[in-house]
Amino acid sequence: MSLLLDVVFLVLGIMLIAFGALTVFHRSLIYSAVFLAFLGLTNAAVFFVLGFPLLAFIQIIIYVGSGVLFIIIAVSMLKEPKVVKVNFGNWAALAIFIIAFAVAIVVSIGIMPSSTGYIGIFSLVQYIVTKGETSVFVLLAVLSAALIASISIAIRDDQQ
Amino acid sequence: MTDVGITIILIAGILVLELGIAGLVYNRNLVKMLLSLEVSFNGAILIVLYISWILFRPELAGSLVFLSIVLAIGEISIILSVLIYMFRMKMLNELDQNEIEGDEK
Repeated sequence: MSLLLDVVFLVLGIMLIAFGALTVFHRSLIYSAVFLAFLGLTNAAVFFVLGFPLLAFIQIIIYVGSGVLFIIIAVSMLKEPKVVKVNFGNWAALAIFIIAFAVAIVVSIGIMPSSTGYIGIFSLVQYIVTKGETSVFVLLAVLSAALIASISIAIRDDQQ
Repeated sequence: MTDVGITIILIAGILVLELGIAGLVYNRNLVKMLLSLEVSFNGAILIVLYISWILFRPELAGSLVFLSIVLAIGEISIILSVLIYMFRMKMLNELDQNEIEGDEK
C-alpha cells in the first residue's frame, strides 16, 4: 500500500512538473491557461491524497472553476484565436490525464495517510475563526477592494 | 508512507515554483507572466503543505492555503482587468497578438 501511494505521488509529481513546464513555455496563451487548469486539478489531487479533501474542492471550484476560466475568457475577448486543427495527440494526452486523475482518486480512497487525518470544514472554520480572525478581516477588505476596483476598471470607457 | 512520497511532492513543489519564477523572467508577455506567477503560486502551496506535514499542523496549512487561494483569485481579477483596460486604451500596442494567433514573431 505504501509503495502504491508512493507511485501515486510520483505520477502526480511528474504531472505537476509537466503541466507547469507546458504552462510556462507553450506558445499559445489559451493553451497555457488550459494547462494551468490542469495544473490546478493535479494540485487538487495532491491535496486529496494528502488528506485535505475540503482544500481539494476549494481548489477545483474556486481556483480552476473561476480563476483559470476568467483568464481564458479574458484572453479570448482580446483577440479571436485562429481555429486550431484537431490534434489527436492532444486528445490522447487529455485522456491519459483524466484516467490518471481518476485512478489517483480511486486508489487514494482506501490508503489515506493517517498522520494528518481529514481536515473537514468544521475544524478548518473553527481554526480560522479562533486563530486568524484578523487575517479574515484583512482578506475580506482586500477582496472587496479587488472586486470594486476590477469592476470599475473594466467598465471604464473614457478615451484619455 | 510515505516519507518518499511526501519528499517527491516537496521536490515537485520546488521545481514548479522554480518553473514559475523562470517563466516570470523568460517571458515578455504580460499574460504569460501572470500565468507564470500562478504556476509559482501552485508550487508554493505544495511547499506549505509539506511544511505542515512535517510539523503535524494540518489546520495551519489548511487555513493558509484556503486564504491564499482566495487571494490569488483577487489578484487575477485585478491584474486582468488592468490588462484589458490598458489594451483597450491602446497603452499596450499588442498583447502578443502574434502569439495568440500562433504566428511567428
